[in-house]
Amino acid sequence: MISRRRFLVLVGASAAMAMLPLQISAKSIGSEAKNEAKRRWAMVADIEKCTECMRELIKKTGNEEVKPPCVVACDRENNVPEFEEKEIDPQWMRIVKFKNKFGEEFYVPLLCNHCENPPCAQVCLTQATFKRSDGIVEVDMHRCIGCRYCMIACPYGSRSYNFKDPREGLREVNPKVPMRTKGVVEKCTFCVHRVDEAIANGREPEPACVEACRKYGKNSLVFGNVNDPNSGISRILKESIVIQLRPELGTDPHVYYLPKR
Amino acid sequence: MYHKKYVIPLIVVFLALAFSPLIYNAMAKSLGHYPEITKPKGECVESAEWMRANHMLLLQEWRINAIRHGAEGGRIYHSFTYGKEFHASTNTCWECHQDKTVFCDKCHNYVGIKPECWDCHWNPSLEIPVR
Repeated sequence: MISRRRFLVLVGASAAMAMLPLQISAKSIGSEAKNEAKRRWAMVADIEKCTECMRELIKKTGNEEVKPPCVVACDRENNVPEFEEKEIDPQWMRIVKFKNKFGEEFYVPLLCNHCENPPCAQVCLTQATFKRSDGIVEVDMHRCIGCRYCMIACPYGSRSYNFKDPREGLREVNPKVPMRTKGVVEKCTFCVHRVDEAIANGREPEPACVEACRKYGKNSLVFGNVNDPNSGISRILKESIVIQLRPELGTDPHVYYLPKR
Repeated sequence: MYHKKYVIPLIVVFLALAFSPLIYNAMAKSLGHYPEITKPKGECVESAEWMRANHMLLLQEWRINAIRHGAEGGRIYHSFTYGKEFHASTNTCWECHQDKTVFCDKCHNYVGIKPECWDCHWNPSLEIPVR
C-alpha cells in the first residue's frame, strides 16, 4: 500500500514534469548573448496593402493563385525553380489567404522570418544553417546533407526541400545567386548577396521583393536595419502596432506585419 | 629457381599489364602529352604559378568567407600578390576565364577530377533548362 507521503511526492513530481515542457522555448535553448552587432536586418509587411494588391491582381487576371510582383521578382532573383507538382515546388516567398473571425479575407506574404533564436539552426546536424552576425539566417548548401530536420523545426514552414534538380524547373538564371542541387534545403535569405554588395558600396540594401513592391507602386514591404534608430523600419516599429507570427514560441521573428487598421 | 617455366612468363605478363598505359600512350604518340589550355586575358587574383597549385584552396577560402563571414566583409578578398581587392565569387573568375570547356575542363578531365561546383554555380557554358 502506498503511503500518503509517497503519494504526495509522486503527485508533486508528475505535476513538475508536466510543467517542464511549457518552460522550454526557442529562447531558453538559444544563446543568451544580446545582439550587439551594428546591423540587424528586418522586414515589415503591410497586410492592408498586400490584400489590396492581391485583390486587384486576382480581379485583373481571374486567377486565384496569381503570383504578385514580389514573388515573381524573388523567383527570378534567387533562381527559385517552378514545377508543375505543387508538393515539390520550392517556394521562398508565398502569399497566403487568411480569414479572420468576422469572415474578412487577408493576403499575407510568408517568407523566412530570420528569427533571433532560429530553431532551424539549433537542430541542424552539420551546422549548415546558421545565423550571421547581422541576423540573417543562411543555409550553407555545401554542408547541407538534406536531413530535413530544419523543415520540421521551423514553425513557419518557410523551408523547401529540393526533391528534383532545380535546374530542370528554371527558364533563366541569375548568375549572382547559385542554383541549388537535388537533396538540399533552401529558403529566403533576405537576398544576402544584395545586402553584402550594398554594404560594400555604402548603399542601403534592398531585397528583390521589396524593390519589386516599390516599383509596382504599393510600398507594402519595408526592409531595413532595426539597430539603427533613424532607419525607416525603426520608425515604423516605434510608431505602429506590429505583429509577429507565433511570438509565443520565443523565436523572436524579424518579419513584422502591420495589421489591418 | 623452382617452376621456372611458369614464373617467368607470368612476370612478363604482369609487367606488360602494369606498363600497358605507358605502352598504349607510346603507340598512340601521346606520351608526355599535357592538355593545352587557352590562356585567358588579364591577370589572375594571384600569380599564375600559385594559382596552378592552390586554386582549390583559394576557392574554398572564398566560399567559407563569403558564406560564413559575409556580414563582416567576407566577400572582399585581398590579393597578397598584387595587394588589390577582389569580390570573392566564382563570377569573378568568369570575368577573365570566359569559357569553362577550354580552361577548367581540360586539366580536370586530364587528371580525372569531377568538381561539383557547377552543379549549382553559374558558368558561361551553362545550358538552361538542364534535361
